[in-house]
Amino acid sequence: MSALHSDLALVWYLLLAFILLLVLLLDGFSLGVGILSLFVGPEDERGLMIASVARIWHANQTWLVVLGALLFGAFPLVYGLVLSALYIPVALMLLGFIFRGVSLEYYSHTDNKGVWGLFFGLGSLLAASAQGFALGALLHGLPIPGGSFAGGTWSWLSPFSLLAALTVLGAYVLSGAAWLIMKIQDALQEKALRAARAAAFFLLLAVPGLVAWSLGLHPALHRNWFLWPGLVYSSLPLGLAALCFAGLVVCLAQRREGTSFVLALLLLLLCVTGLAGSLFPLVVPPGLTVFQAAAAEINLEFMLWGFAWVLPLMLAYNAYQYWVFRGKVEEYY
Amino acid sequence: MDFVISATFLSRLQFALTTMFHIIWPLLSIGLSIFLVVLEVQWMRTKKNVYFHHFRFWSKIFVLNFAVGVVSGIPLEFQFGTNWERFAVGTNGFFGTILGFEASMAFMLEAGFLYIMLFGWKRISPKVHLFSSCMVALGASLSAFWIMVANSWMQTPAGGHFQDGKFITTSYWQAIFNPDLPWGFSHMWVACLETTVFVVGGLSAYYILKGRHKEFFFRSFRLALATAVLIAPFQVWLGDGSGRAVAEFQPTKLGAIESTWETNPPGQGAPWHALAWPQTELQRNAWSIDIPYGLSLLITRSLTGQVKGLREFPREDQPPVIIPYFAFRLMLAAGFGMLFLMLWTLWTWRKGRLTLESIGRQKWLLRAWIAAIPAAYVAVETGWIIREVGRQPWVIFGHMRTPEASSLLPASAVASTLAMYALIYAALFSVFLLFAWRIVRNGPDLAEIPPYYQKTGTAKQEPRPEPARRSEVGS
Repeated sequence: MSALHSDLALVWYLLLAFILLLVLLLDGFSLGVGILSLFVGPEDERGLMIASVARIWHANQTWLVVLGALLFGAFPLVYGLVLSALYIPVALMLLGFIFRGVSLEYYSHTDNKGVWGLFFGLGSLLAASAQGFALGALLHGLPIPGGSFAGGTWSWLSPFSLLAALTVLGAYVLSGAAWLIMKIQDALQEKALRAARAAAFFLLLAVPGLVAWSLGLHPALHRNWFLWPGLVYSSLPLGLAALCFAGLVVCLAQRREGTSFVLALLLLLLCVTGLAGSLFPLVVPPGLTVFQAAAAEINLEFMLWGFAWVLPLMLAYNAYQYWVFRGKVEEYY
Repeated sequence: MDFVISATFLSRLQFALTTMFHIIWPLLSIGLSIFLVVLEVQWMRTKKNVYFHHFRFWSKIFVLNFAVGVVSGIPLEFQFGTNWERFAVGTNGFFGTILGFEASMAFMLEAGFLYIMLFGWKRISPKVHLFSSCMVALGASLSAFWIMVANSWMQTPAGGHFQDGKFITTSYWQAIFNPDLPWGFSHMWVACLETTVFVVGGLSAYYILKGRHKEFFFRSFRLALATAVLIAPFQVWLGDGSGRAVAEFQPTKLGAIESTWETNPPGQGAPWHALAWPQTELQRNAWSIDIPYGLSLLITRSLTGQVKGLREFPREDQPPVIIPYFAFRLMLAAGFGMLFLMLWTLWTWRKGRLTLESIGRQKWLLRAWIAAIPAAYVAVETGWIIREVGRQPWVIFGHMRTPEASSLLPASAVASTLAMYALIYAALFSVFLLFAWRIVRNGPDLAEIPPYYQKTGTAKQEPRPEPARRSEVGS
């Protein structure tokens, strides 16, 4: 592998990590709102929650499509391997997305809001849990002796992946609740505040638990935890995440709506960075590294030319979309 | 080995089901997004409320259709990894790069401006709104372009070579602009426009037939007719060109489409088997109704030009014949049916029977326009069946066979997701029809007050409310 090739692989690793973060943060809070909508009483409260994400959920979800396609281009081996190994959770996630997307769009057309609202919540819950199980199975490790997956169809289901799924649900609920605090007022905002606090404390237990468990599973990760320079990109982000957590609890208590949302996202961002950092250079534990999985040099280079100019544009008009639909949600959906 | 074959077969069924379901929706997303831009520009130019009301009415159908398109499109992308792992790995980044461009340049563009276009009215200026509508339309068409790049590369792979089962790209330019792309993309993109024209025309015909909002829908009917005059013959011409490209680059596909077994000897013309019964086992047709010299004329533009028959190729390289052959006849029937409907309507117009007062009496003509709605979809579905089944037994034509491309999954896993998709798509389709019917039944809301260019009464002159409304912008 030439120096240019490995540099390109690294650049794409970082770009994809960035887009993964956007998926987890942006689609994460949309899914979180969906999960929380299962726990509200009257239908008009659910209508408000749906209205809070109705204008932006689609672009948020599209980051996942972008991530999938770029992963296919930059690391085709990871794409094929991970998706076929995680066949069932991926199918369940797609099923969840179908329910979430259609019920969200058709909610405004129907007279039967109860049923479609329920589909919206259940779809979000299914998609989020399936993502959590998939992430857990990936962290647990996909054995690939001889280049193809050696596990079974159901090997993604384990106590470890259950903990990962709960952690992901907790993370989405936290960001979803923080979004609602910012977008909604009165009684529903109070509920969102309580949910955010509960989710934050749950994560305080779950994230260190997940980290400790994966350290036990993969001795290879120890290097990134206890030795220079690995500890910079694993321990440091998670240390900062602890600070963020403290800040978030204070801000929630003081009802700083915008700051709470930013801190909640920052907290998740740091957790994901720490997790990815502790794996690096592995992309699929226990054995597949960034450099082994990369596509040919010409592909990485060409794709970078095609994508580098488009990313700032994407970020700009996505931000513009949030700007257009800023402010508290007043109307029911 | 057996279990691999059957999982491959199920994966093929699943891909066929999910793509055939998915392709229904982008047709209107692409066509209507352009139609909406046309309506908005007309509205800006003329300041007539009727264009705004048209925009609102068609955008309701647009968004209903779009939602199903989005949720059914995502499983397609992921299937390349879940069910076609060895294809994903073998394309070595090229195919994914193209899908990556599609997602980031096109799909996100559409997603980012869609809701601004649909619900941003009072939050942005008219110009920004028009810009958003244009971006939605651009995103939709660009999406079609990149998807057709990916698909046409599977038909006529170029710009590199295969080494140890992996594609080594040498020229991205050649790989993207592979021989099939100009025909494949234009035929498909125009199909989107044509379907939209006949959906808009057909729904308008329905309202005219029922005598509801006759004047309102007469306007969209005329617009549809005018566009059909341009598009329907153009599409036939593109289809002919695609056929000749297929003859050059995928002769086995042409053989299957036309059920041609023998190559015509020098000096003799190849007949066109207008109708036949192919017998794959015997490598011949049981019977056929022929048009002498027909195929030679169609493909080579000469009476005795050579057209290769399927027997020239080993059995293991031949695609199935029955499906492409009959799908092609259906596509022709639908395509020419739309062309003749256009000519019929034009003729009626020439006779002066197509005015607002008299059109209501053209009951059969209007009914034919309604029937053209499903016909347009049949043309597209059968076109894709020809294209994809005719590519067999290859997934990447000439380089990777379909059974070499699939993931090594247990058949039971694929069977369960196949059942899941069959159920959920049947439900989605029914729900779509139900909600679409509701929109059609309710009709346009002609009382809705436009956010811009409001005018009271029917006064011709229009004082531009621009400066006064500016203050609302961004509020």
